[in-house]
Amino acid sequence: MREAILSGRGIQKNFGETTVLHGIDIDLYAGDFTVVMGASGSGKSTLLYALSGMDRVSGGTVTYQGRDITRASEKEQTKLRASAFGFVFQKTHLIGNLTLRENIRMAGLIAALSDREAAERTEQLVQQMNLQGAAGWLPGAVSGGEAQRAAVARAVVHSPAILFADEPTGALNRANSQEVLDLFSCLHRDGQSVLLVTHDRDAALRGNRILYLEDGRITGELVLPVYAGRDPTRESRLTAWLEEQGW
Amino acid sequence: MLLRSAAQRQRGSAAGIFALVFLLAACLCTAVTVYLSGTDSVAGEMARLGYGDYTVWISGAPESLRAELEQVPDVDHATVQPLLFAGYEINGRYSDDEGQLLLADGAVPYRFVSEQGEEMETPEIQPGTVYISPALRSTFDVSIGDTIHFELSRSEEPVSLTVAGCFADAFMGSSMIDMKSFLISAADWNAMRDQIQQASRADALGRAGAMVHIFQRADSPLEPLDFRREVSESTDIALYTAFSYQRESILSYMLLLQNILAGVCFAFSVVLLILCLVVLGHVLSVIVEQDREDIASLKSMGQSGAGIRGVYLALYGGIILLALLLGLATSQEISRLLASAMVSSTGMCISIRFPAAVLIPILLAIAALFALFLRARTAQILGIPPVQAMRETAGERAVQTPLRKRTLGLDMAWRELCSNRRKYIAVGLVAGFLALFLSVIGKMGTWLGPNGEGLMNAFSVADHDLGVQPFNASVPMDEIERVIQWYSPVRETYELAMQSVTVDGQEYTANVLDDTRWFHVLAGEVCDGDSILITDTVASELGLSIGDSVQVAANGRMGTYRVSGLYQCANGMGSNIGMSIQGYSQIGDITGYIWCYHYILENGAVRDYAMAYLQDHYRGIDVHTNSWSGLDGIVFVMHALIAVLYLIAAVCILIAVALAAGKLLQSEMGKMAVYKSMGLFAGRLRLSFALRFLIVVSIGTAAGIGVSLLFGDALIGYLFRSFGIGEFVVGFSLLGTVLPAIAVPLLFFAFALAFSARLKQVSIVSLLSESDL
Repeated sequence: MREAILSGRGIQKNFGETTVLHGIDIDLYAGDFTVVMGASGSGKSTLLYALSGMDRVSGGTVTYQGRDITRASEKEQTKLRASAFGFVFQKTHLIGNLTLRENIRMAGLIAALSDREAAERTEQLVQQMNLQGAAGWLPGAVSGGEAQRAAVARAVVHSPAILFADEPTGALNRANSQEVLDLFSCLHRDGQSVLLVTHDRDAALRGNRILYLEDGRITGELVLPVYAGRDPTRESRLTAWLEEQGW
Repeated sequence: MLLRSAAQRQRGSAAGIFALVFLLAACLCTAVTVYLSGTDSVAGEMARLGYGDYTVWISGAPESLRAELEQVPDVDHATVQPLLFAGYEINGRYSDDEGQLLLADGAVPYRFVSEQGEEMETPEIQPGTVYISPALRSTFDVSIGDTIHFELSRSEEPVSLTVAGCFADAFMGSSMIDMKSFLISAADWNAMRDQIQQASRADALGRAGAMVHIFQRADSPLEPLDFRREVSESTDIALYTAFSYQRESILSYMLLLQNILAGVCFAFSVVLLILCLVVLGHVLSVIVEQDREDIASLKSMGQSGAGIRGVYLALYGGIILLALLLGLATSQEISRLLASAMVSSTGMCISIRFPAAVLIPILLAIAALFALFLRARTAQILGIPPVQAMRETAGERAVQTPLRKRTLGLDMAWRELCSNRRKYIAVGLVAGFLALFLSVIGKMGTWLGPNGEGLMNAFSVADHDLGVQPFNASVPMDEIERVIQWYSPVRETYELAMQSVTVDGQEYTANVLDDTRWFHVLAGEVCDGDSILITDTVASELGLSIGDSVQVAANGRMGTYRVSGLYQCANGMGSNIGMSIQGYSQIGDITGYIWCYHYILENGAVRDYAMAYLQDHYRGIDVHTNSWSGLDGIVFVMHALIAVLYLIAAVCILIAVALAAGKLLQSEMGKMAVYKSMGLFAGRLRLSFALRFLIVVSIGTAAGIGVSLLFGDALIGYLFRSFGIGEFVVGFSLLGTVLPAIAVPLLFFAFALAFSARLKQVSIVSLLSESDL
């Protein structure tokens, strides 16, 4: 039996009178590309922020390496984000007055990397993300795809244990979406654990474990082989399963 | 509806602007009210009490003098108010100077006041009682019921009178004048006059005299100085004159403190006006930028640009108008408080009247200035096109500055500043102006010194700790010097005589020194036997410059002297000259008891103890320090003013930071959230945010202090010249340079750090949802 690197038990989240997450139990495993699917308003993003410690939960626990991060202090949670977690948002949220290269390097500097390590790792990611031409530009001057690739690079510059991604292709056109999803697949093949929330079937195809969320509850789970390029069998399995879930 | 919505969304900005404009109106209206009310009150009271255009204190003059004066072509009439002069002792302390005893026979309508300076009903003055100036109360710590002993003759016991209350004297009541007046009953006055007249010349300590008020004809074309010269040259009045003052000089003395206070408040108002405009401009541009999408949407719905702009104009115009009116109303109460606080200095409570004819046009002009400024700053609303769905992200510049791990917080702050310079210009300007103003005020504080040393030195002929003037041969000066030596070794000693002279027919006091190197020479050379020193005031009054020749006369003898230089002595508002003993001996008598022995002690701190001992144990001497009665009151008010100005400056900084930091944080929430999501501690984010303010404010402060260092002394010197203080040099100082240089940036930094506290409280998800990047 595999050991979970991040476990959520009885996660509940209320916004005033409204309960968005109803006592969810979830485990994330090392090396998995976990995808949470669901319709808009099902609580996908809320679950991601609850699991990553970005937002406080109303009930339940989230355990990372044996420690309940919902009870961790602000300082401890910040350290966790700097060392173990990486985030990619729907909008790139790159820092507007830093070039793409500086955005990536800044994340390395905030984490434990030295000046030299951050610079070396940044250049490595610039190459890997195919950002050589755009790395010296400000986010406002590059394409959406380049900006989101830079955002992914920024999220993994410190080699996090888990990469959290909240609808990373939601604001991109199809071509740019494929580029970004290819990056995620590439990172996963290299051993990166990923939790991605999406309502895009193509994005979900990249995962090897798909969870379906409906009205704040996990209603189904599908395990697929690791993505290795377009595979009609995988695609039909996912489609059938999604139809079962009421997609 | 739009207005209500705008008012709700912008209540923080509106409150900040309201507070700044309120401070501006309160400060400016207080300055104008205190200045005008003070001038009106003192001038009115002088006129009511019968002070002339030119008032001369005389003794030993014949009764024919008045008729002689009224023969002078430009003299309308002259009145004579009899006086008695006598030394006095209160609560064991002897006065440095004679007191002036006024006859309360109803001829002069003195006002009676409470110890706080409030007007009271005129009482029947009973024999055995005396009424004093409220300023004396603070100087001698005298209260109603205490006894004042007046020394009239050596052979008789002093005349003791009980303090029954206070009265207002528009001149001798001021703490700026050493000689204090006392109002006594006709019975006591006549008895004391008889005692003086019956005493032999050797026995007499008191003397009879008079105040002669000389009024210039309404159609006289002469300037005040020329009128004074005509009176001196056409009559024998100079032979009997102890001292004399023009109406303008008396007003200057009486209004010294009010004018300094009003001047400082006025200068601060100018700084506040600039701050208001800078902050308002900054706030409006940020708000319009933030509301850009809403404005575009409203336009798409058919709302005109002018209509939307009208909402902003109405909101901020209304707030500014309200703040101006509230500031105006508050200023009248502040003015009354200030007037009450200054009673111990002025000796009378200036009557605060609402100077509507001046204040309303001033406030209307300021309102018009704000209206124009608002119109100009909101003009950009007209240019926003309808349906501008996406907020423009332009404005951040591509700049390359280092980002290093060790100095990441500072590097981030620097990058933000370099990328968004425009957003921080207002903060830098505010800091620069505040630092400049506080530095100038600090310079004044440094010059003033903890005990008023600046004023002491400015108003004294030469530096000294202790002065002893013997009035007869029986005074054992050797023994007195041994007593002084017992308190502290004497570093230097010299002698000073203050004698009445005329310079080119104009009456002045000659400060005669046996060692002329003690004069505070500002320009030229020290005087010798053939030359004199003059003050800036004399140079200006007589149109003299260094090298000119003048006729100096005393006791009927006259000599020609060259002006060797300019020197500093604000005594008599600068109406004095400096002479050497060799120079004065050519026209005046240097024998007799005219000399005051000045001592500079190794340990100046003991001077008050030495003075008290000498006053208690020796008769026939006048002992004084470099200070004068009432200086403590002036120093206290000035120091309090500096403290209050620092407090107001801190409030201004708080408001400026609240407005600037609030808007910046609001626009950067998304960015801050991203930094937090990357693992940057909220504390480091806050530090970096506050560092931006520290950097830009440090630059502004450095500029402000630099301007103050370059021009501050000249500016204050120019203002002080009107008080007879010819030189002002402070340069680098703790209060004028170091304190504002540290206080202004630190206050900005601390307030910015405090305002960024919400970064710590709010979750990243909330921050991300508050603002897009």
